Amino acid sequence: MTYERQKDFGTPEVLAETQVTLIIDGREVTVPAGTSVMRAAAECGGSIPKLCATDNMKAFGSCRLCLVEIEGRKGTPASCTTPAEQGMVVATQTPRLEKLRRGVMELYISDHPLDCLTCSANNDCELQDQAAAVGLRDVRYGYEGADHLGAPVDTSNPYFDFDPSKCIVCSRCVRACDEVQGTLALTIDGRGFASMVSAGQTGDDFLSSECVSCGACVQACPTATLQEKSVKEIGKPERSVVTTCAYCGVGCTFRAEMRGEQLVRMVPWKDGKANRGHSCVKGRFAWGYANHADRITSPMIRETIHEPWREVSWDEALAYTAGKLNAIKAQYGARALGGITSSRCTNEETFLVQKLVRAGFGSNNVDTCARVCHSPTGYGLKTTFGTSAGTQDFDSVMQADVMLVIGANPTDAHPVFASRMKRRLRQGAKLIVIDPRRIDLVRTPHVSAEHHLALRPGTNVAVLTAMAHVIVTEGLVDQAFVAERCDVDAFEDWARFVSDERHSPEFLAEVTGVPATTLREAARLYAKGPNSAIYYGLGVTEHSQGSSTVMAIANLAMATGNIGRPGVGVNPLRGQNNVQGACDMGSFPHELSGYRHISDGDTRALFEADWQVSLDDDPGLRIPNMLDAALDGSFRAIYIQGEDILQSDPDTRHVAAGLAAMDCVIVHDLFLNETANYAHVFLPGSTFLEKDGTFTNAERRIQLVRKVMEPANGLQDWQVTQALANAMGLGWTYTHPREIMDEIARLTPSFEGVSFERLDEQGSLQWPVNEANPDGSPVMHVDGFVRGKGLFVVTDYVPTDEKTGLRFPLLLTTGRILSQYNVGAQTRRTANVVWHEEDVLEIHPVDAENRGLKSGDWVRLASRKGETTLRAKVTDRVAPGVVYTTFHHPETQANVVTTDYSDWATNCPEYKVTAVQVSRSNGPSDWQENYAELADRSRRIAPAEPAE
Amino acid sequence: MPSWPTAPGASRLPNRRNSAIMDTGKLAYMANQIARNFAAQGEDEAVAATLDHIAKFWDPGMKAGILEHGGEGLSPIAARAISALREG
Ligand code: SF4
Ligand code: SF4
Ligand code: SF4
Ligand code: FES
Repeated sequence: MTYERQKDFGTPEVLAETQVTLIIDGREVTVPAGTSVMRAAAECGGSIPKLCATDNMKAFGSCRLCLVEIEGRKGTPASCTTPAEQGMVVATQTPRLEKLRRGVMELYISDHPLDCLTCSANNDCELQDQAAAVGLRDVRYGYEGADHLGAPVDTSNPYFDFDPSKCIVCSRCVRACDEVQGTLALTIDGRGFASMVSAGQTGDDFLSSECVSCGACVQACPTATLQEKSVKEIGKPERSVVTTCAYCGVGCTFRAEMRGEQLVRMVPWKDGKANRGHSCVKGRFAWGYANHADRITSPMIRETIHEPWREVSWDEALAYTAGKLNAIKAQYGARALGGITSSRCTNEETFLVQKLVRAGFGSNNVDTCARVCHSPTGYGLKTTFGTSAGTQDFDSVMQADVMLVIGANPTDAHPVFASRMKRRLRQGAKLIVIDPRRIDLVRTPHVSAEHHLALRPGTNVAVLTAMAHVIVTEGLVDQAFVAERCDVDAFEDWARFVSDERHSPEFLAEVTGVPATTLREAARLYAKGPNSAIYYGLGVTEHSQGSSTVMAIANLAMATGNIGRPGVGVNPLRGQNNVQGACDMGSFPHELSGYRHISDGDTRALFEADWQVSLDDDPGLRIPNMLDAALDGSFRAIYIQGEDILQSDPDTRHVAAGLAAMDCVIVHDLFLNETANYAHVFLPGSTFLEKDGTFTNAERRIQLVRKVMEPANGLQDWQVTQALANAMGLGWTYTHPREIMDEIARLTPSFEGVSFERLDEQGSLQWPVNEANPDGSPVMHVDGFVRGKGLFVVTDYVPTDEKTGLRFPLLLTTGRILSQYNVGAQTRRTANVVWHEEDVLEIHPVDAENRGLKSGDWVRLASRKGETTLRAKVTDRVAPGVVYTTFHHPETQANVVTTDYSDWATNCPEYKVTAVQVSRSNGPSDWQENYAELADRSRRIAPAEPAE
Repeated sequence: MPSWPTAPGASRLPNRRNSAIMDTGKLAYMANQIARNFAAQGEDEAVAATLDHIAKFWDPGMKAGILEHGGEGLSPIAARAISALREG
């Protein structure tokens, strides 16, 4: 494939029912009313010269290059700002227009360096293209006048440079930052000739400004003014492959632009339905980990974790591993073996891991890292609605009138979707935030939350039940919806329960810390919508009442009729790229793909016939249960694909003890992660750039991941799992992930119509894709709930057993930050560390003062479970009594202090509430020093023995 | 030295294939927690829901473990659910 930029239609697509037909340069074209003449021309294959217009932002009409003539009208209007009208006759190329355009172009070029041949954007520059398009040959003004050619280059951003000498002041970057990203970091300073793009305030550069490095301005820039450093270093791309980001659950699609086998840049794909051409710093820029020096590319084994690793061939590693697993199975039974699938791997890889466990190991001891994030979503939404998934597509937010964001921090964790939210909020939608911390969304440029309910961590259920109390007792229930769509008996029980005075906002205010009037107003706003949508994250699920909170959310949506159409719904924002997919693929120990319980004989029979094995009909162990069982001696071997449970799971010491008690720990990953310190087998993994498969994002959208380069380790991850299965004698014969998807589709009703061919054709599909919904389902539960009638569930507030007291008076809650991802294994190995070098502890000024602390001080963070040290940051973003940190760095390992309290229904850990004390410290704790020593020792690799 | 076990000492533990697993006190805690969250539905419903939950989500070793547990410290709802589990 040769390299071409994605076609730019000049102005955004218009969705309108009325169509208009016009004639452009003699060609008839029909477009939705409101479409610009520029876009209409592009739709019929024409291309009007342009500089300030681009199709992901509103027309601006400043460059005057796109002039056209319209029959019966005077002058030469700009085609980007002129709407197409019925019967219009437009000429885009006339001698008069050509002359005018050449004049405009001359002015631009006279203040632009003429070093095209040596410019890194040569042949990939719109200014150059347009100069050619208007036939500019020479410039009359000469170059001796004032210009900007000597302006210094701003290289502060690690991924792109800003070279103002090349700027034509078209404002595309400024508008991209405003309209697409919503950060408003850029301005045009000065007027007329003196005008210049500037980041932040005077004296700022890109890095010190508000810029979040999303890359939207770089993509928008028609010149080499804003350009990726990698293009300068590697050269212009020669081909591109569309693939899906492997970071978060937004599921942005990108064009991986390649030069030979080298990735030059990732450019957001405008046809991607999840991201609509936008990106964040992670997917856009932070892919350098793929060839980081720490990457391990050959298999390694060792008898005990005290020995150094020994590099071996794939054959030896697989034979060794299969031998171990078979021996353990023979001695201790199938239930001594288990596996963990990864929400970072593809659907096909995940499906194979659970198949290996169920069909090969012979147990149902398979779980996924979603256990520690969204398992309560699985339980809660399955119980109330009948299936475990968000109800909407992302586009739906553009029709929401009220957004209720609870326990989520979208601008950091789901940035591209947050930009859509902010756009809708700037259009006037109202926002309610329920979060102990003042997340950025509460107040960003031109956005201010109507209500911020800064509740005490651990009181979600109380707050939501109090909102339900207001809705029921103030007569705000959508009675018609409830009568038609829900189980009415269950509704009545629930309504009676929430109406009780002990669930009133006034009664609960003391527990939740939320003033009753604020809560009442928020409940009314949500109930009155008319379109109200709930978005939630791990601040909902990672509690001892995570599942209850999810059900309380579902109750609110049903009671107010906010389900089953665009603009409303219940939307879990998924952390990792394929959390939805990993759950769909049967990664939980109690269910097969498509959320069917393992005890269901008909479903089991389907799988047994296809796989030619008999399956255990009892649920298996969940991750925390596996660790407990390991300490008990009954669970002895684990295959962990693409997860780092030692760092990501709570109560690190307990995880370490569980792993240390096992006979065979197999880690399949890119790096020697923290879990690998306890492993006996290391199977090198491949990156998303090196594999084919699919990811499913938070809106149930299944998208293709396409291989753009050969795996550095020699095998894609599904091939490794297959090789291990075959070493155990399973005889699998997949030749491509598409065959695995065919098997998934054959065995899973909601995936019935999914295949690689269809995904290739359609770009993406949102499950269910079946006979009733052959093209997928953007919105779910439209005519009825998956379970039939929606089920209201009584959710009683049960305080967590993790209590503050004299020794541990503060509540710790944890979260993540924009530039880093999860345990940081990938992002720490990129230049993203400039934004977040270490985890810090946010503490309120009052709590800091009581302890004599200031920002930058080393502090000791201690809980009943353990202690660690990190630096303090004094801020009123957190409420008094609450402290907050992230868990991206192994040196801190915030999970040393988190407890093993967990959700009552799913054992999802209670990361969000830990009673702690904070005090001044001199440096790393004993634990940190010991761990650093252990990690160093454990990561030793013995020098390879010389070949015979 | 690190302050948690780094040696696979557990391999010296007895083979407990198909028998109860885990610290039964922890299992009792879990059963109580489940029962407590269903309690608002009324006692009989909560007993049935707790039993159903354990049947659906606990592995056989955990079920065996809670049956082995003497019932000490179990809340009334959890205790009734566990005796129903015992009766099958
Ligand atoms: S990278 Fe994004 S946030 Fe930064 S200036 Fe450009 S558009 Fe704005
Ligand atoms: S930096 Fe690029 S996009 Fe921004 S005004 Fe200059 S030329 Fe236009
Ligand atoms: S990390 Fe998420 S928001 Fe950022 S580019 Fe990737 S999928 Fe998009
Ligand atoms: S492209 Fe229309 S005025 Fe610039």
